[in-house]
This record gives sequence, C-alpha cells and structure tokens, in this order.
Amino acid sequence: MPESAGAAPRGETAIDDDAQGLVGFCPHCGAELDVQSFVQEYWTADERVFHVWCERCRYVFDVRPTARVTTHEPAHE
Amino acid sequence: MLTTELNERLTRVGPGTPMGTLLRHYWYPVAATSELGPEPIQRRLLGEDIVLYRKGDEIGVIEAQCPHRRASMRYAIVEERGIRCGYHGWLYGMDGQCLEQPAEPASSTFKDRIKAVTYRAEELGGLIFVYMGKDPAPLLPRFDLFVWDNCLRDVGHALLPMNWLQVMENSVDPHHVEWLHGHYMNFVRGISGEQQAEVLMRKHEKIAFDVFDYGIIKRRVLEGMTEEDEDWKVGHPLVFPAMLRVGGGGHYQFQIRVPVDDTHTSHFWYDVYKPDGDYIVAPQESVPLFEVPIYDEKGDYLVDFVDGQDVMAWASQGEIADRSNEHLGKSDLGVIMLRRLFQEQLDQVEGGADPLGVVRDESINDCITLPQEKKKFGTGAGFRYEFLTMGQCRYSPIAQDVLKLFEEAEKSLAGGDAMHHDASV
Repeated sequence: MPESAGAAPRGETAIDDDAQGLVGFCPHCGAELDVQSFVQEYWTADERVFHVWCERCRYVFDVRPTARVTTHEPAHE
Repeated sequence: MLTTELNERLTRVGPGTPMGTLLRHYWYPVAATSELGPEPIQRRLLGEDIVLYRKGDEIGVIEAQCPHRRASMRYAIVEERGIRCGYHGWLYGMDGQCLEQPAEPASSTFKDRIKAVTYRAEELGGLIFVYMGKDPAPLLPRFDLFVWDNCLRDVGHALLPMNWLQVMENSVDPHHVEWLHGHYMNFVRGISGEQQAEVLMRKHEKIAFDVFDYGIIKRRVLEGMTEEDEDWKVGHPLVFPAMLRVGGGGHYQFQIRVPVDDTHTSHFWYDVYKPDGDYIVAPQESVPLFEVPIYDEKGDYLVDFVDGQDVMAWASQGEIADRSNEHLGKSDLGVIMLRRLFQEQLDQVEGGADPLGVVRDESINDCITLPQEKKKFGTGAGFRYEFLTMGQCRYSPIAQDVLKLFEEAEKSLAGGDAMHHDASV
C-alpha cells in the first residue's frame, strides 16, 4: 500500500501563526471566534483573506489584513 | 489553513463527537442487497461495528460484539425470533432485548436486564441503508436514482483509506477535473499509449456554488461556453452530507461516501443508465455489485482512470488531511463553503434542530428529483463516453449491456421504434 503523506515541513509560503487567533473576535457582534465559529484562511494573489462565520450572530464576512491603503489620485482640473 | 482544533471537529465521526452526532441524522448504505443472504454480515459505520441479518422481509442490525462475552455476532444463528450468538446461544430480538440465556438457571431473570444496541435498516434501490441516530428516525430519502424504472443499474465499491471529508471536499473542487482527469490523465495515458481524454480537459472559466434544500449545487462555465449552457444553468449537486450526484448524456451517478470511521470511507459508485429515447428495459433481478480496484500489482494507486485518480488524490492527502498546513486560494472557495456549511450545521444540531436535507415529510418522498445536467461539458454523449470508458464503469459486469443500451436508445431516436433491451443480470 502506498505511503500516506505525513506532516511535511512548512514551506516558505507558509506563515507560522494561528489563523483562528488572528481574527479573534467578530466585528459584527464582538463574540469570541472560538472553535464553534469558522475561520478559514485563503489567498487572492498577495492578499491574505480570512473567511469567517460567527457562531453567535451568524454573520458571514471576509477579513483582509491590510499593511498599506492605496487609492488612485483624483484627476487634476 | 485551518486550525488543528477545527480540523479535528470537522473530521472525527465516532459516537459523542460533534461531527459524529451531526452525521447520525442521516441514513447510509452499508451493503448491496445482494450481499445479505442467510448468514449475517459485519460492517463498520461511524466508528461502530455492527452486524446485519435478514429475518424474513426485515433486516436486523445489532452491535457486533455479543453483550455476554463479546464474541462476534457475525457468526450467529438467525432464527424466527431474532439472532442467537453462536458462542453460548444468547438470543436477541430485533429490538436487542435478550430473550434467552440457555446456560443460565431456568428461573433466572438475568436476561431481562440485558439489551444489545440495535439500529434501523431499510432497503432501497438495491442497497441496504442503516440509521444510527436518535428516534424518531427521519425518512430514508427516495432520491430519483434509487426509484426510477426502465433503466439499468450497477454499483461499484471500494473501501478507501482516508477520512470521508477530504472525499467530499473533492465534490466542490471543479478545477480538479481539467487537471487530474485531463492533463494528469493524459500524462499517464501518454506513457502507456492509451487513448487520451478530450472532454475532461476543458478549461474552467468560472465556477459557482449555491446552497439548496439538499446540499450545494455546483456550476461551471468552460472555455467556449456561456451561462446559457446546462453546466451553469442546471449544474449538479453535492448532496449533504456524504454524496455527490454527477453524470451526463443519460448516465447518472451517485458517489456515496460512507464514513466508516475517522480514517476509512466506504465508497459506492451508484450508476443508473437511462438514456433519452424510446426503449423498454427488463427489470434487473438484482443490482450487480463489483469491486473497483484502487492499487496496481506494485501497490501503487491505479491512476489511468477517473476514479482511481480521485482515490489517489484523496488518499495521498493522508488518513486525515492536515489542513493546518495547506494554502488555499480563490479557486478553493467551494471547499471553504462546504467546511463552513458543516460548521453551521454542527451548530444547528447542537441547538436541537435537524440539519440540512433531513427528510421527514412523506408527501415529498415518493421521488426526490435532484438537478443534473444532461448536456454536460457542452456535449452529453462525449462526456458520457469518457466517463464510461475512463471511469470505474469499465469494471462493471454489465459494461457491454450498458453500451448496447445507449446504442439502442440512439437508434430508437433515429428510427422512431421502441426497442426491448433484455438485461436481466
């Protein structure tokens, strides 16, 4: 029987932190996001996103940690 | 990534676990009807070992170990009143109540205080389903493929060495089709000079997922197609919590992923062949069951066919996939949605309510019709051809009958005469 994959060493793309801890509280109702809630990390290009469902208020939302806020410059008259 | 704690919550299925409690709200097939004769058979479901036996028209399900000295009830005697352990002859009724203890004093009331664990079983569509949850039991859903007539059926089966959730996640991961069953298939088949896949290679442009009454409907737009095509307008469902509906061009399939325990899944490929056309199919005496091989002679996964490729992908993630060490992207949103749906349903069950898809209304249960594309991947017949010849159906004992049925149906559409197909397998 083929060997199953074991616990592999983490690659350079991995971020060594606790996704659940990074988004610890619901921004809608303030409840703690424990294991009864749902916090799932995914990536869109270089943007890290946490998809969250709050068990207390049932709110579904995405959290995007932001290091820099960029916008376009208004057109000059 | 997902936290290890949440991964545990979503994958453990034994008695008393949150997911085990949720999953015990549903019926699961554990055997084909043809497998249960006069002798009992043993199975494991949701981490519990059970023995099934046939008593007249009824099927009994009892815990596998005799409450007396723990010998296996698989080797028991089936009698008019129930099942009698082969070791010392303790007799149990269908409800598990101990009725006789032959070696105990005749005046003993000891038997009155012994009751074995029992569960419910029902037969439908050539399969035996078991319910292990609390009373009152919900109805066994009569999904269309289980109750249609004028069609052929067969059932492929394999016992797989991984947790059931990673199998289900595959059903909301449309992109894997073009890669695993297209590019990878053709890489493998190219080495051995076998026929290449064409339809399964088609590139995905857009995917979407909608929760409905029985699970999640999966939609896709392939390159060169639009939202007017059936792959988007109709789609096909993941049937919550443990089934996929798939097929096209007159081939319909349930892939039923039965959680055996935390690290094993009993996989049924329930095929129904019902092409459009004017024909009559003689009823099958029984639905043939066949084993789907997953290993080659060297012990490697068989990866030259669709379902073998799936098994490789599921099993090579490990017995329970380490989701704390994964890196999901936007193309994985279907997988994320399914995990969230499970988490929401866990909460619903903990609140005392039925989870998604539990059927208790008899008025809707004559035949529950599920959506499925016919003109799949823009070409029903092309998809069917690759699915039949490059899928597990190639191992079916009625594979030739199936191909003949489709030929006859096509002829009837061309010629207009009803044809009689005799496949009393």
